[in-house]
Amino acid sequence: MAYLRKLNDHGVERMKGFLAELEVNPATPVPIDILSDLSTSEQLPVTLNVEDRRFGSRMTAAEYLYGILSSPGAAGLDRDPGVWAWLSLFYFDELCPKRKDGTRKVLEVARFIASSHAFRYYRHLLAGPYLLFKAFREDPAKAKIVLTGPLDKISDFVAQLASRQDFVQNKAVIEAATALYFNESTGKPKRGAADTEHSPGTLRRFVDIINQFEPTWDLYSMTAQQLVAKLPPEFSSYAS
Amino acid sequence: MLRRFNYTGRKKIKQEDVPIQLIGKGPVLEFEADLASITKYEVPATAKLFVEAYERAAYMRFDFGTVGSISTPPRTERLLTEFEGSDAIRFRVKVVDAGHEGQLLAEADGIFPRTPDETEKDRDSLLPVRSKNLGEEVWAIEFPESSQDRPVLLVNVEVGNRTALVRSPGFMALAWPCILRQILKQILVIDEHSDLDDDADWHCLWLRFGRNLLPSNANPPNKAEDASDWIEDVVRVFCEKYKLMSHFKEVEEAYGVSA
Repeated sequence: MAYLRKLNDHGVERMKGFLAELEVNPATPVPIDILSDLSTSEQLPVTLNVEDRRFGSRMTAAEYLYGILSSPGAAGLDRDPGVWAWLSLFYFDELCPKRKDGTRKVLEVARFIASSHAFRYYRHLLAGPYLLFKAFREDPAKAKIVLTGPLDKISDFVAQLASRQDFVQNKAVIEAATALYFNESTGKPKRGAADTEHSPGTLRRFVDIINQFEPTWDLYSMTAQQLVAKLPPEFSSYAS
Repeated sequence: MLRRFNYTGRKKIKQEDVPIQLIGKGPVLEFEADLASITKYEVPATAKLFVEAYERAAYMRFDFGTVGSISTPPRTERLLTEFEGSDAIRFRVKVVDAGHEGQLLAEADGIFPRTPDETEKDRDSLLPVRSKNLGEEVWAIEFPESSQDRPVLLVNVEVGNRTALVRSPGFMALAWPCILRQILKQILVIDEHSDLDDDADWHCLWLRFGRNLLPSNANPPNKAEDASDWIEDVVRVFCEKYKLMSHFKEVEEAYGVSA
């Protein structure tokens, strides 16, 4: 258990330095001192406890963080990049796990330090699932297609759907994608659904078709069922 | 990316015809929308009117009745509860034919609301200014996803008075040429857009701004590889028009610093 804090500018710079150092020396130890050092982190206006734990999935992490950041007095903290940087470092072992040889691979800084670009928030490994969960908090199961999977990975479904504001804000679009491509019995996306060849009925064809629907229909007034019913026959194998 | 065709003749509503104002000082703002000018777009009186607010994954939708009978929801139902603590919210206005499976008849997207501290003059700015936590960066440009939206000049939230900063001679001289160059490069080289005819498209509005600056009124080139000379001409004329170097020197001489 620890008190949630935020990294200040110096702390964020230290974290960027650590991520850069990992590129060169993948065995660099995590600088956990910056989480509590007064020169690199700041106290929040409200006392919030966070558990030192493993989540196992984007959904579990998002639900846990939503519980904390929706506490009384915590309003607005989820917009603070310093809070997300602190959380990323606190949970770094799960966000950037060690490989068998003891080294880590960073991939991109935006996964740990939230991008200032409004459309790239989804790349942050904690803020991304958190914001999706928050948008679907009344029934998060409808967004399983973008909330499943391990915390250290950004799936094709997240990259294709959450990167488009028009899609991710439209609950019917995300719910329809979950209905089409999420396999409830395995708890994973259906095999082949993320095919990169734009094969009939696959995720990328879904994105193409929704893009074509958008200038014509008010998709926000439709239910997921109405949206699926509007799709061409190529989607029937996934709809069943 | 597949090109999107407007087969059904959906009309584009100009943002200035549907002004939206944020109201309040608390973390949860409300808004007012003036939709009276919608009628000039010749859409059926029975068509439904919706105002949508959005930011990142958050979204809210407000029912404003019909074109023939606009019905503004009461204040308590216009609270932007999903966007607590943010003034970076954008809006869409939609005119929907409810009788045809929700066919979209007209739309304005990427509407920048006037924030409580903005004046009427600021509202239609080509480059709205917003505050954001940018770490150690003083400013940045955020490019929009939608062509009906607009780029935004982000100023670090740590800067006390963003309006004063962006109008200061130092910032004008050092940052504005870079800003103009970056935006025109995005349009002509990255987005490869040289069309000037769409009143609702931010690319067109910026290209017209550039063309109108030039004494020759030369249109931008159609090919990205020819864009550099045109962009540099626009930036040079912009600097000359606003006498950026002269003002910069005056401040430097008066204060010994580039305030």
